[in-house]
Amino acid sequence: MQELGTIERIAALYRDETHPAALRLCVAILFGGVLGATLLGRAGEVWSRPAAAFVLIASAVPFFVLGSIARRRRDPRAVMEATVMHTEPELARRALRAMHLAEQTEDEPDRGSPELAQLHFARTLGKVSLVRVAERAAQRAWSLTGVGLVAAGLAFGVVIVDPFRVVEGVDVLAARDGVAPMPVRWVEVTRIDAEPPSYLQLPRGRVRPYLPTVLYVGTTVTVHAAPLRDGRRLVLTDGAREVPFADDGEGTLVAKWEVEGDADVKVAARFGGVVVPEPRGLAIHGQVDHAPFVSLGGAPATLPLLDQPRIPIHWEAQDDHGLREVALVLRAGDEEVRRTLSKPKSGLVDRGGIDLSSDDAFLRDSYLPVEVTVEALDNDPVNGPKWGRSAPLVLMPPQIGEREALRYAALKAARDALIDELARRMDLDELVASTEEVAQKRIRNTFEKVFDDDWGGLRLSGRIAALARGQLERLDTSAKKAIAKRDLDALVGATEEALLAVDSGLIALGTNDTRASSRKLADVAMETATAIAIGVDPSQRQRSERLVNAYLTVLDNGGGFLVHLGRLGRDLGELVDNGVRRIERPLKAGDRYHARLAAEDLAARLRNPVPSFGAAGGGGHGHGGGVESGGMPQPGQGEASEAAEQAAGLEQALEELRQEHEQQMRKVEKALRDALPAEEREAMNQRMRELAQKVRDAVKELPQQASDPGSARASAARARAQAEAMAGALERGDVSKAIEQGEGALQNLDQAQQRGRKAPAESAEREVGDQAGEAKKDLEDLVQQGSKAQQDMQKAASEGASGPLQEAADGEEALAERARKLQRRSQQGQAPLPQAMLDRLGEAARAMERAAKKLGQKQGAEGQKAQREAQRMLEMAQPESESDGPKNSPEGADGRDFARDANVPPEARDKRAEDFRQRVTDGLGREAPPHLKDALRRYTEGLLR
Amino acid sequence: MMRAFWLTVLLVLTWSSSATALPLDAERGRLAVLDLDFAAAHRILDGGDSPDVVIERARLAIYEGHCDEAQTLLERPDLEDDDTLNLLFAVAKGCARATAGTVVMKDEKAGVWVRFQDDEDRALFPLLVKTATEARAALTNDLGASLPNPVKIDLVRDQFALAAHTGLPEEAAQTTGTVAVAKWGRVIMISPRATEDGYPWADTLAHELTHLVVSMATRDRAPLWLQEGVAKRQEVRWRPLTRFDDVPSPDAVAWEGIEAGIALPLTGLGPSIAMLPSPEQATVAFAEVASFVRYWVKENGEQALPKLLVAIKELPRDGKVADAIKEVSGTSFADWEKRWRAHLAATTPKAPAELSPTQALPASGLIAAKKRRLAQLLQSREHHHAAQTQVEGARELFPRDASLRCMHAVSLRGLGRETDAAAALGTKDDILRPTGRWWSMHDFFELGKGDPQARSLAVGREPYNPPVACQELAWGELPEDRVMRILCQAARRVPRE
Repeated sequence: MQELGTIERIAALYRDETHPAALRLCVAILFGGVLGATLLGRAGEVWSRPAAAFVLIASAVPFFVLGSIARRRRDPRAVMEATVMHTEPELARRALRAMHLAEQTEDEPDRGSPELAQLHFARTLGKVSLVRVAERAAQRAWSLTGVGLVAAGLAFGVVIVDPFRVVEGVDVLAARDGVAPMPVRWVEVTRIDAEPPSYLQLPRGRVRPYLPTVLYVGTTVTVHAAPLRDGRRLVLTDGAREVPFADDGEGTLVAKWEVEGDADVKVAARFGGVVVPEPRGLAIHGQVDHAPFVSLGGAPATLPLLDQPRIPIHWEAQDDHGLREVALVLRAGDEEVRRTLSKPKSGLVDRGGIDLSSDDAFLRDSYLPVEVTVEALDNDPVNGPKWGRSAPLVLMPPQIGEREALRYAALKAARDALIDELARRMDLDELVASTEEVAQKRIRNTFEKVFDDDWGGLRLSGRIAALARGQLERLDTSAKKAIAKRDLDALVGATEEALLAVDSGLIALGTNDTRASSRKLADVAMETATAIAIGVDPSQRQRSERLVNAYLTVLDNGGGFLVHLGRLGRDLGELVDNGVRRIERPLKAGDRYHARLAAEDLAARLRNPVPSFGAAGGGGHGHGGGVESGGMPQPGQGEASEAAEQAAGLEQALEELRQEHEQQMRKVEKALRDALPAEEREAMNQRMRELAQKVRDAVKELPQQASDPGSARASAARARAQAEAMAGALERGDVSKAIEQGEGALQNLDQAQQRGRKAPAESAEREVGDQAGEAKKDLEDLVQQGSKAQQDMQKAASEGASGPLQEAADGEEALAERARKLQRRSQQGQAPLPQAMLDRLGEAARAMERAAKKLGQKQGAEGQKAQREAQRMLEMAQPESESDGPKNSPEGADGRDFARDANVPPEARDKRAEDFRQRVTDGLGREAPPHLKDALRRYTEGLLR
Repeated sequence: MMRAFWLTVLLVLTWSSSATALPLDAERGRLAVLDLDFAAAHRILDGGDSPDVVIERARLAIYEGHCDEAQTLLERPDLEDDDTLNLLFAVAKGCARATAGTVVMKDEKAGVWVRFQDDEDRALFPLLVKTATEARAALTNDLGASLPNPVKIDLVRDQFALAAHTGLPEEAAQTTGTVAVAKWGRVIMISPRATEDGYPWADTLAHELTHLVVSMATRDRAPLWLQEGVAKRQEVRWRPLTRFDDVPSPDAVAWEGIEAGIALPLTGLGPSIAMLPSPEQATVAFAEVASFVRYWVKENGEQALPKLLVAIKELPRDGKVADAIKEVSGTSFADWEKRWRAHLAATTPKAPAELSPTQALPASGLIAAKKRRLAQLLQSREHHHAAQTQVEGARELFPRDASLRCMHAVSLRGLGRETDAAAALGTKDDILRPTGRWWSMHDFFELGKGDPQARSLAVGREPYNPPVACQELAWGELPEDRVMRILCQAARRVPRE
């Protein structure tokens, strides 16, 4: 229609005017939306992105609306509505009616003439004022433009304060995994300080920004920075850890970073869950405090203890920063013991050396291989102190029964040598003196070698050694007589008796050792059962297997050695072998229950190490009532010699005599002590205490130890020890002992003085000698004072205790008679004691008789002196106790053991006590004759009681 | 009708059990166990859960040697704590421990089952089977009762295990020198390797099997004197008798014991000869019962014994064994004892001094002991000449001692004097009582023409003595017979001085 062209003109006129403005408004809204989205996104929270997206989408909606309007305005009616309706509403309505009519007549010609309708429409349209439409359009456009400008202005206004926030918002919105893709510089770093951990004792330092640096773990890095933009939440981060900056009140920000390891530390700004890091960071290499390195001399190695009773432990421990402790660690099976070797106060290196003895309690009680390491602990407070461990020394202790088997074999060889001699003598037709003298010497040498030998610290001692020595002496004596008389029968007879006695001793040795070893094996069998039981728990299976294998090896080896210990050893050794098989059999089949039972059965059996078959009075020889009871005895099948039994009886009788005499001594001591009234006693005690202090003062300048035993220093040290002992004895009220010690100290002081005089002038030795001389003068006087005090006390006490002293005198007489009876019993029996011991016994008897006489004469002090002499002789008359320690050890097994157990007087529980103990130990450590060892032990026991 | 019904029920119950008291299953089961009829015992007891039945099931398990099972059954908390339970539990526990990790061998054909506590004793298995088989046959013939299959033997290593298995206190076993016990339906005996010189294990096995038969045949009601008397009688009857079986004669030893005042009345022996306070009293006790039973059988005939066992079994619950004796023999037990003592008093038999349990060993015994030991020591170093001198001295004091003769022969052989060695060993007329080694050397010197039993008697006493097991062959050589070869190897493995 032509008229439509008119409408198009109207629409175009309107559109040309309003569309650009509308478009500008859309753009302004979109622009505002974008800015708003970035600002929302900058929050960095979980909701930020969805909110930003919403805003962005919402800001794009006007475009869609505009497009929709444009499409709608293709319709003439819409044009009329939007344009003429606002300028000439009545005309617009008429025009719309006319259009409607025209359309109707077009569609339905019988409604009217289409031409007339068209004409009417055209005329109506012709009346529309285009000018007014244009004005309207212009107004509209201005409105839209105004709104657009306002919108744009607002958006600008929000961001103009800090336009960078938009950039931040975009960056944050684009973040992945909480890190924005575009780094931003946030601060101007002014200073970075680094403070190492205090234990390293290193000075504080500066770190250059953005350059790689090496810092110790635990170092505190302090970053001082000036922010380039305010209002940002700034942090230091390595991506895993984060430390916030804080305002220091002076306009800069500070953050402290603790070095825990390697890290690339950057300054970053945190926006909610997103960080925007700076482009450059500080690369830190965290230097770790290493565990100490420890070297142990000779390790790794495996050493058999039997051949090596002393193991030198030389160590060197190094650490990069500092050592705190060095320890010796012993491990066997599941047992572990740690002993501190040193506690370095400072320094990076610690060295030292000790000797580990085979009679160490842990080694002695272990039959499993012992792993020895030296471990060092550093002083790292940051990650905690760490232990460094050396390579191990594996010590193979002697197996149960191994040393005993060697000892048995040695004595057996000596017995066999005696058998050979007997056979030779039995085959002689006549006795040749020189030959037999040589033979006797040969026999003696053979046995002496056995007495002198040791097997991993075990020696032939005690009752069996005494029996053998006694037999040799008797044989020697008899042989001399027989040789002198050329009496071959007598010589053969004496040799037979000696052989049977030694044989009896050998059997007894084997039996005793078998019993002792069996009990130890019983413990191992029980440990085996326990180890099997823990394997029920699958998590402990490996540990169980390891332990069981170790224990079965110990049992197997132990059984193997038992069979070399005579009759009982063969019996029980076989039993142990079978016991091991009984354990292994079910274990191999996976039957832990029966394996454990078998181990328990073996343990129960070995705990009572009697022969497998016994009959009272028969000892397994088949005595009994009949078939069911093992059969009848054979004549002549009894014991060939009772030597061992008699030796045991003698030993017991001697011990009883010793104990009773000791009790007698205590009674006399108590009687004399109680004879004085309490006030007098207290006054005397006070006097003794004062004297003791003076004694200590007199020797306090003297040295406490010395390395060269032949030096003045050593003599002075010994004197000091003895003087200290004198002081201790005085404090205890044992004045006699104190005088004894004092006299010993004076001797050593004199010796020190002499040695000092021989030393060069102004040397340390000379000085010590002079000091000893001074001390000697003081001590002499003190000893005299003590002696006088003692005499006064004794005199008073003896007068007051006459009744008990007489009783004691009678007691001493009786004991002296018993001692003589024992002498006779020994000489006449099958197990004579060695002559030296018999002589001591005789001397003891004489001393007891002297004591009886003095005590009867109310001479308490003299009586006590004689009693002490008698007691000493009694102790020397006893066979030495079973010795199980290194023969040539400078400390001596007894001395070292005793020193650990010594009871230090309460008065000296300070450093002096420790020094005192050390000196006693050193003093005891000197080699003592075997027959004096027990006496020395008891003597020192009294000293330190 | 109802009355007849209930009477029938009562009869059946009575017939099926010798006890009328309830609970019947437990009692019936116990009797089946005592009869060694384990199949019947299982039928009665299996599945039963009441405390009484559980105890009998445990008893059955012990008899069968299943000690673990017995221990588990007896650990139930609802069982009444009484002597029976305590005894069974102690035995089950001890046996379970003593049999852990052991080895079992069976001869199905011979019906012999042996459990070895020491697996090295497996070398004895064929000999155990042979002895058990022959002994069982003799018992069937002599006593009219047979042990069911299998016969179970526990060969243990020591008296500790013997005590654990049986409940016999270990100290008692050591006092009397007990080597074997028949208990819980089994023979528990110590391996001959447990004693230095062995012991007559074969006769001991026969002795113990006799106990099992008598227990089974009398339902465990035979008194101790009868048990031991019959066992002593039967211990040698499984094999041909030797003249030494009666040395010393039980009559002589019994008489000496009576004269010395250490003999006990036959009914006053206590629960076990093994628990008498001394080996001498045990010896006399064994001799008394052996002498009495021998006398009684001699007076009443060979068939009297089987009849007596049956009579005892059939005694009513409160019946006395004396009644059974009177029933079988026509005379009371008390009178028999009197007659027997009178018989001894009339004959006054004497035992050789060396074998008398009541006489102290002569002083020469100590001298001989010394010389014996010196000879052993000299022989160990191969000083045969000197050893021979020592042995000769001992033999002068005890010329009929078999072991001294053996030592003498060994020394002479060591000197290469074989003929002198044979002479030194002597013949059966020259010795008082042979040892295993003596029999072995006798067989060796007689070149197989001596006593046909010599070899088996030797091994029956000292199987782990290498010269005996190896038939006097040199070290390194082995017997041809497979069984003896294995035994010889086992004997050589036993640790020796």
